[in-house]
Amino acid sequence: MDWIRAHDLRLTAYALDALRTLSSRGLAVYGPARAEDRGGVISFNFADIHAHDLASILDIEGVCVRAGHHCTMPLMEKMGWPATARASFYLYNTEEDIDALILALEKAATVFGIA
Amino acid sequence: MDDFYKEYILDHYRNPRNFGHLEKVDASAEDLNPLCGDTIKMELALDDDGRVRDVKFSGKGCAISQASASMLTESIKGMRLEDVARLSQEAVLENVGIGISPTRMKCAMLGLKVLKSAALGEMASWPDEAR
Repeated sequence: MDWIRAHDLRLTAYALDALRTLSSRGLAVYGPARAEDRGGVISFNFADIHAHDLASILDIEGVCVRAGHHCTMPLMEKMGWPATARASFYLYNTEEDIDALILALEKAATVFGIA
Repeated sequence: MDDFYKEYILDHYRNPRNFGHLEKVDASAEDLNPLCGDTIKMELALDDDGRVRDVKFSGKGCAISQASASMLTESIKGMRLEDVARLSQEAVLENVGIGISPTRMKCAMLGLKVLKSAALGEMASWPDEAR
């Protein structure tokens, strides 16, 4: 279990850094800034792309994320988010998977005409 | 991929047609997709012959649900209310013009469900493919 936690932590830190490269284009990451304060889960939205549209595009690009309220509708309403996309990592994931996520997000930006 | 989010879908998403509210409403309905939180409201104004004189929609949600509703409002002006109530999901899918996966079918059909509810004066059921 210690190995899995260390692996998750490494991937989460890698993903947070990678996602930050898209923040100037409107990618918002929710939750603690430090990987140490998280599990291997990252919720996010990208510019004005609805999370379900984003998930559909990522799906076509071969990247599976969850999108929606994640069973926290009261929180979503309080925060004013219609939905979020959510990537999660486990022992079978690798840094290459996160690279694929970033490439797929760039594809979504192209489809939705986000500069 | 390129077939999925065509430019006109994004145009309807960002610049929805007939978006807002009518001053005088003869028929209206509102519903949501509980799975994703998308909401749509449709308001209709009728002329003396029972035809749709004007229509406005409001709501929020994904590009598919909002674009589908926006396109629907463009296609029903001048239609008789009973014909609006009989609109088919095939007609909507043809209008939307992109392949809709089973998981997104409710998004594409929400506008139709609400519009039919407004025309029928009672809550319409989900079209077959979106159940």
